[in-house]
Amino acid sequence: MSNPILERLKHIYIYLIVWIIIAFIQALLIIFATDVQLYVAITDSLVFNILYALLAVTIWYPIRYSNPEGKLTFRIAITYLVVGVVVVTGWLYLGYTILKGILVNQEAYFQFLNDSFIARLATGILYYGVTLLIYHLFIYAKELEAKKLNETNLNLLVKESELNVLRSQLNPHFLFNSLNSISYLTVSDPARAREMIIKLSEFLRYALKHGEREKTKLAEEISNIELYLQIEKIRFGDKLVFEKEVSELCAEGLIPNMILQPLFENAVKHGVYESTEPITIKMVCRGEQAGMHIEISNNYDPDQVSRKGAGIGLKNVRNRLMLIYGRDDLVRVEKSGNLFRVQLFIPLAESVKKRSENPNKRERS
Amino acid sequence: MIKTVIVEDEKLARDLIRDYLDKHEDFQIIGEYEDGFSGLKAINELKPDLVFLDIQMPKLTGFEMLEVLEHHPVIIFTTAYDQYALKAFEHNALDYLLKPYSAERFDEALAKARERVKSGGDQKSISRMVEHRDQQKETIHRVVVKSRSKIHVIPVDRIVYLEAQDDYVMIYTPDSRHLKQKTMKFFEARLPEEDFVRIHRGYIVRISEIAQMQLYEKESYIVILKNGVKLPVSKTGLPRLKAKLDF
Repeated sequence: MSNPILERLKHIYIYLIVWIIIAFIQALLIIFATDVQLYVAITDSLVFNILYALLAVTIWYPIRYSNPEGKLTFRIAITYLVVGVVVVTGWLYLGYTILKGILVNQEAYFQFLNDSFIARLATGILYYGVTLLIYHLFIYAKELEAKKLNETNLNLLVKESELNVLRSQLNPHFLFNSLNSISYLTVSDPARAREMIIKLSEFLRYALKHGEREKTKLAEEISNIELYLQIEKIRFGDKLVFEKEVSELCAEGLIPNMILQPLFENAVKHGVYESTEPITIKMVCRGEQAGMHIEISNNYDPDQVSRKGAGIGLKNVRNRLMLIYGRDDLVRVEKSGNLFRVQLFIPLAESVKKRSENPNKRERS
Repeated sequence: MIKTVIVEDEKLARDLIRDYLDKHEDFQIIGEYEDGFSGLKAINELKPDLVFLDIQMPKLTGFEMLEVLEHHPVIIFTTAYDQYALKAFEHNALDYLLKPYSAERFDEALAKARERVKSGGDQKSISRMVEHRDQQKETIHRVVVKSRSKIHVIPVDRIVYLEAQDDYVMIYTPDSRHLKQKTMKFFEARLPEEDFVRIHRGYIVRISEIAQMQLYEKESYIVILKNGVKLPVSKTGLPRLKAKLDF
């Protein structure tokens, strides 16, 4: 943050005008209180106020560096006190020295200068206090603005990721191919056609429900994924094999809605669609105190040339987990031999709280 | 009899075509294939008059098949959803079927195909389609080539460097080389930019394969690859190479 006074030309003008008014008032006061000549009173007022106006600009820097967050703690109060003593003492010392140097043979005035020391000290302390207050108001306003901006950005990101999730759920390729299969089954095997329509409807209904709740039980999510895989299995038959190992603890755990769907779609798209041999998609979930380890793996045709494009689905998953848990280390991807493996870690509620207490701070870094 | 081949990876989708085709007695299905590779081989060997071709398939996509077909049948494309494919079909294909399609729509496409087979095939559509694909500047991940009767799929990850040879490009991998009928410009625009650099009118090199760069005579450079091959660097290639190597 730059010095709020020097930051804009407008601020400098306002600052100068304020000091001219203060200097004018002080000169008037001196004239009314004493019988010194006019030019002496004006000189006195100008020297002291110009000096302080310059000092006040520099006070910004110790404030900013000792206290970038604009907070008030004991340590910071001590710092302010020390800065205050230095500034006010320096101000008075310089003021007295300069005035005694430029105004010669003004004994009556010097007497007044000495008599008014306490008043000047009080003025200096008042000035210092007001300066601190103004600077703090500035910092506060700036922080507020930044916070607002941050919140808007976050909301935008959430909306965007929701849109992406929606788009990936209604995967048109999957939808139209399934409808094509159903179109054949209506004549050749009506019972299976009906079964497939019901499964497809249930799957779509679940997808549309997303957004109502942010999180869901893993067991529920898995049953939806099984629907999806059963539909694909009607299309691809024995080419698609699904295995799962989910502990009881895991099944009850809460995970973000539809977070696994893109991963299974990837496994089908890059495994089953691209292979002529059977592909096994395997899901393993282990529950722990801190959270759930979920692993989704699939083998793939070793001859298959990587067709990039898996990136979008994975990126969405990563973004959503980042938004919800405030951590970007929850997804790990591994490719070894002819096995593709995605590992997720879903933190449990308590460990989440601690992590997300101060999400703004994280954003700033 | 119109000899027909179905290339489609889903059994139910193949069955549907078979079912719709059943009442048309002048068509005879001589083969069904579930991936692009076996489909391609069958088309070249069996020389069918008509092919139903899916776009998204294992091993080779429908588009990749077009590039290396030796026999040019009449093709009816079938696809569920693919924005790029639709664009390619719109002006270039004889006809295409969007899944799911009705029997009436199928018959319509079939009527067109019948006409075209009678009038002597459809060489033009295929080359127009390949041309259209060539204009799309999407990054490629594999190259399909044929040498004599064999088809090879070369993953881009295996390409060491490319050399211009008249109307062809010679593709060098660690253990083989293949001729492909495309231009250097084609590859320059489609190989992943972060991995390859065009160092000369006649050469595109994988950056990570470069072992060293040497001054050769005055002001002209050559690069030496890890496998010992020496390639010249041209005046326009030098700044490109320097930018990629960060020096």
